[in-house]
Amino acid sequence: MFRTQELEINMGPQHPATHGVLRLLLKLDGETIVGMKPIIGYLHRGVEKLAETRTYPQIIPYTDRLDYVASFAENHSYVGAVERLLGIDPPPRAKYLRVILAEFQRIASHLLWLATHALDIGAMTIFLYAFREREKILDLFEAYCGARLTYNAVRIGGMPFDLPDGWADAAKRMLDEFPVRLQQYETLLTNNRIWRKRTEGIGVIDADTAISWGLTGPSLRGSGIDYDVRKHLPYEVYDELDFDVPVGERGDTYDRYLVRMEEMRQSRRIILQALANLPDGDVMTKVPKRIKAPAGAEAYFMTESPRGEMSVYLQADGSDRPYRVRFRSPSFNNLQALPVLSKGHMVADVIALIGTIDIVLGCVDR
Amino acid sequence: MADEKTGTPEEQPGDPRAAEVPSAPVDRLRAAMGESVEEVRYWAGVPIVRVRRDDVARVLEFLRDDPDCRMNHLSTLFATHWPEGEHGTLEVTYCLYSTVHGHLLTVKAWTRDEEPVPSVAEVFPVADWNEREAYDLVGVRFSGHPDLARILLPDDWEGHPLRKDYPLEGKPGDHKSYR
Amino acid sequence: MGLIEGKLPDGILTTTVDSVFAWARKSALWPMTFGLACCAIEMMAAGASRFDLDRFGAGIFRATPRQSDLMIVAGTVTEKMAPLVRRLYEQMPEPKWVIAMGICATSGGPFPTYSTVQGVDRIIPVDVYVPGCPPRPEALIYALMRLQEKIQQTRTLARPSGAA
Repeated sequence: MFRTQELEINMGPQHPATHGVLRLLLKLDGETIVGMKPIIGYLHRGVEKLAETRTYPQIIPYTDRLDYVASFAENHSYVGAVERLLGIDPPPRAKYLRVILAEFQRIASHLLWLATHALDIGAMTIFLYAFREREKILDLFEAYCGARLTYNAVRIGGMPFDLPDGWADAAKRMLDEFPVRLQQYETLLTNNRIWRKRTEGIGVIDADTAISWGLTGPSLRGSGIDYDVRKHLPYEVYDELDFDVPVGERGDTYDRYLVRMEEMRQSRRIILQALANLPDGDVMTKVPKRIKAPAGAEAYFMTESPRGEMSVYLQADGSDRPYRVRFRSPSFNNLQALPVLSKGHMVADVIALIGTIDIVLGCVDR
Repeated sequence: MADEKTGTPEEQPGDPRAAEVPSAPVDRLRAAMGESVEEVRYWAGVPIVRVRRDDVARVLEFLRDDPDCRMNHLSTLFATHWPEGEHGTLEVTYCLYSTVHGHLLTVKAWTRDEEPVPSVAEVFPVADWNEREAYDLVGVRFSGHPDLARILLPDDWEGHPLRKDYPLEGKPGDHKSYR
Repeated sequence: MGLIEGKLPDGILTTTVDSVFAWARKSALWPMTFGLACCAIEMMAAGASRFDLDRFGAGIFRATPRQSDLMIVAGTVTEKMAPLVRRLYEQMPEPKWVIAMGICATSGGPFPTYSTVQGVDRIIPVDVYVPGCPPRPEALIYALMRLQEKIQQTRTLARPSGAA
């Protein structure tokens, strides 16, 4: 009796819930999504080409601006690749410092994820609370390297600075009250009827599909595969520290939320162990003044950033600039799976799904 | 290895960074698909296998499905432009990992302009966007790709910026004016 | 406001009325959510608990340009995004202002590349530039206060008589 028609609407690139400049073309049958096509590239700044014209150390500040919510992770990934390329081994104290700061970065990034994901779904209070915690971590980073967001806090061969006086105590104080805060967020969300209705059963993906679509990080672990680079291919001193990797069961948005909340607790565990076992010594090993890599050398360094597997592939040509730098971005690959996740769901669920795969457009577009 | 004054690490014969390491995927590949393997070399403990361009999809499928390899995770796929390359001008690199056995492997395929590389999007769906990016920025064509179109640059862009002859600041006409 | 603009000659009455209009406008600037890149995170931090943009009247971020009067261009503008920036600017109703937050919006920042617009002022007129990569939330708040000073100087009712 009534004629129906498929509707094609455009979402973004300027949109409060797309976490950046992401454009989605949605094909709708009523409110249900029949097809989705993400269009990216609105933040493509040409960093990979830029890196070919800069020396190895000069590229580190550019890596901050790729995944700007987890800048330390991106710095770490790139510097690790250079060190693997050349066979440089940083001193133990530097490795511990890297682990401590990387885990603080994980907590800060997950807090931002929680703030924006909850804000998009409608829980606005969490946004203000999570940012309050995050500010405390940013204070610690600022005390360490001077910057709140784009740290440039790793050097080829070690770390630029040692911990300032009182930093370890300030870190422990922050971590002492953190579980109480985390419990507050869980009280607001985990058993909240509205939260559960908006996240349970949304974006279900099974393990094999997830890994074939290149999902990594909490987005993959929510589906039951325990692939965490820190356990599979341990780097720095992760093999000396004791921690668990939370894994979900059903692969829906709710499970991914629980995985990330638990990861924050595990990160706290890692930091406390690392602070207790911090060895003395230098934070920087001897590296040549001009860093050059021989022609034909190629290295791939994989790390577990808050978003997933973040890796850097370097190809050298004998000079002090890399021939090719490839930033493997977890967000780029996770975003590719969004049409698969959103099949059959409604427009409002797309908002929850963008939040659950936790993308940062700087890393997607590079 | 590095000269402290100038920091020029030359790759000496017998450079330990280029030493061979035991690798089950390399052995299985040589045994089952030996004619596709053109060269195996190593750096920093990871084997780098150059395969025949037209076999690359079958090689990746073998590595994914073989029980001793089970390389189920295509970590990254990208292209590089080598204007004077001896095996071709465009090189495509595939980094594979097995979450089951823990093997790490890098596979490479070479081609020249206008000659397509078989797409591996059927073997690993994650390759879809990565191949589009390789086409967009370097100009490698992939045959059998579901939708080979530009992904990062505007659709009407001309040229492939990651090529070595493309200027960093952009060629004339890249920057448009609005005022 | 188009009906009463420039209707009366410049004088004591108009100065006072104009300063009331200007005070009303500057105290309730509604920004549009236009976070493009890293600066967006600092803009969010400026709007969140510690730095609280809302105490300046500018805490309500509107998603649609039709309801906003301030566009804070926070992040790098690329060639692909440029026509959309122009379109969004044109969709905002008068009076409108633009803050270019961060060095990418000011002049292309650290990206002298083929796809980066070297400054958003190549696309839209800018009122206040904020340097920094990213600027601290305090810097953004300072920029907002400078913009408020600028708005306080504007005339609405008075006919412009030479230098306004």
